[in-house]
Amino acid sequence: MQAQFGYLEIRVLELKRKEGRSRISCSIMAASTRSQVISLYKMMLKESSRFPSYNYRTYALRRVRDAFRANREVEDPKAVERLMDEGEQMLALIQRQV
Amino acid sequence: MLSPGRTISSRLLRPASWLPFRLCPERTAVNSMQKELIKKHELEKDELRPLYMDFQATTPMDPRVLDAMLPYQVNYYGNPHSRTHAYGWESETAMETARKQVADLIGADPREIIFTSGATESNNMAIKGVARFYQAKKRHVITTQTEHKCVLDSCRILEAEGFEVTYLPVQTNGLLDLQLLESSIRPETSLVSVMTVNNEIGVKQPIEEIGHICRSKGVFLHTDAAQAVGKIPISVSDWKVDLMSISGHKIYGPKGVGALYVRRRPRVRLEPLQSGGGQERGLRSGTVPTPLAVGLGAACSISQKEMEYDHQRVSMLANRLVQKIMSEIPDVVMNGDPEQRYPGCINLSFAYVEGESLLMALKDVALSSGSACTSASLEPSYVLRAIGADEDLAHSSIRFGIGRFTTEQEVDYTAEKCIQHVRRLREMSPLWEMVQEGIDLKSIKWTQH
Repeated sequence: MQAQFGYLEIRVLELKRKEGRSRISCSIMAASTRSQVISLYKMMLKESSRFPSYNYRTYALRRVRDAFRANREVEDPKAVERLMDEGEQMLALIQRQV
Repeated sequence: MLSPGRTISSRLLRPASWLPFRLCPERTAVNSMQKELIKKHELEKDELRPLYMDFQATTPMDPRVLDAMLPYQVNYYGNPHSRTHAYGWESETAMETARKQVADLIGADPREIIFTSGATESNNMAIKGVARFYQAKKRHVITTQTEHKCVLDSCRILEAEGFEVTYLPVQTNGLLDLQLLESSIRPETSLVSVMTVNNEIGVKQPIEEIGHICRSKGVFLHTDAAQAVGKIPISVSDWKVDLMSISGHKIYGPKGVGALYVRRRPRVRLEPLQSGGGQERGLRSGTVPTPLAVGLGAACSISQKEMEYDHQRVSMLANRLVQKIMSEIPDVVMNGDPEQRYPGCINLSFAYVEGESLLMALKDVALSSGSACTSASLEPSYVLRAIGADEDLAHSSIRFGIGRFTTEQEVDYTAEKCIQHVRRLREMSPLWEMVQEGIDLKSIKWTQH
């Protein structure tokens, strides 16, 4: 019961946060993309390190790091936005799980 | 009539304790601290568990799969076969999405996928179903000696029903001889069943060539791909496979669900094992478990995205493990072909060491010798016997399973402990002493006392 309410709570918070972020990102697009990416990366690493299970924790940290490294060279802004959306979904997923 | 104390303004001034939990900030602050404490307390009970190196027996569920399943466990709990209300419709949509995800992984059409309760049920359905449907004219089935227990047991039941079954031997490297297969196929053969990747020795059979042979002779090919799906690229159209079994819990999905691919063009007919309301094209009646099916679909789509990354990583870790062990201790044999294999399943035989005692010594690593379904019996694995391993080597074999979540530290630790214990056990072994002195063990005549 507690876990179910916790899950719904976080969904509400995540929707609010997402709206907030998309409002910000629409107004100051190009200049802060790099800082947005870096802040997303840092948030994902922070959340991943909160997994209680050793295997999940190490996998999440490694996978996030490798995924960001592999996409370092991507220039096309649409692709960057799509990847950022995926990243935010993954971040929300990790927050639900930890 | 309100009492003097309970006016509206005083109600507003009351402390926040009457508000429900979630809306009250102070309550949530205290509550989350308590939650953290409770969580920490529970998790402390779970610490210091063995390392998991048995990914062929089962795999932990990927967190992304759990996340996909959770809404269907608590909120969208309708029966997908209910046609009349939204609960049924949303469940059905989820089930069909999952079906598409499974089909995309193996290169099939979604209409050709049937959800079952696991690869064992899929194997039973495929073998018994096809054999019984075509039994008027065709009463011969071909399989190999290294198949999974469920396939061999289904064939044994068919033999009791009057079918003829040929169990083809395999070569010493675990691969099937294609000439032998071709010569064994007769006009009355209805089905050939060969597993794609063996769960004990990790050998990958040449299913593409076998598919071509079977298609040219007009025989159906069934393959148990439980260990292969999501790990190596599979295309049922290129491989000319007619039936394929998929298991959920081998690809980081939930336990209790699997799928069977049944080709529609050219049509493969099956006699259903489970009768009922005609769900799943009439081949497998029964309510499809939506959360499990959604989990299987999510596991398949994740595997498709991560296949390259996982394969590279698993190969790297497997090489690391094998190089470490083989460079430090002599007389270690890897069972199965070194090239035609899935790298994550390594079966090593340590000569002059008893397998069970090594497993007991490695008590903080979860390993197995042979497969999980045969680990209760005392006999050495039939797969190792089929590839012609010596009796004593078959007794001393250990299977190391490496998967998506294994770390370098786990592999290094396992290798070190293995080396240490093998050395210790060998020092205690009189056979090892005799070998060190140069005596050939095969030439000894053992006498009775």
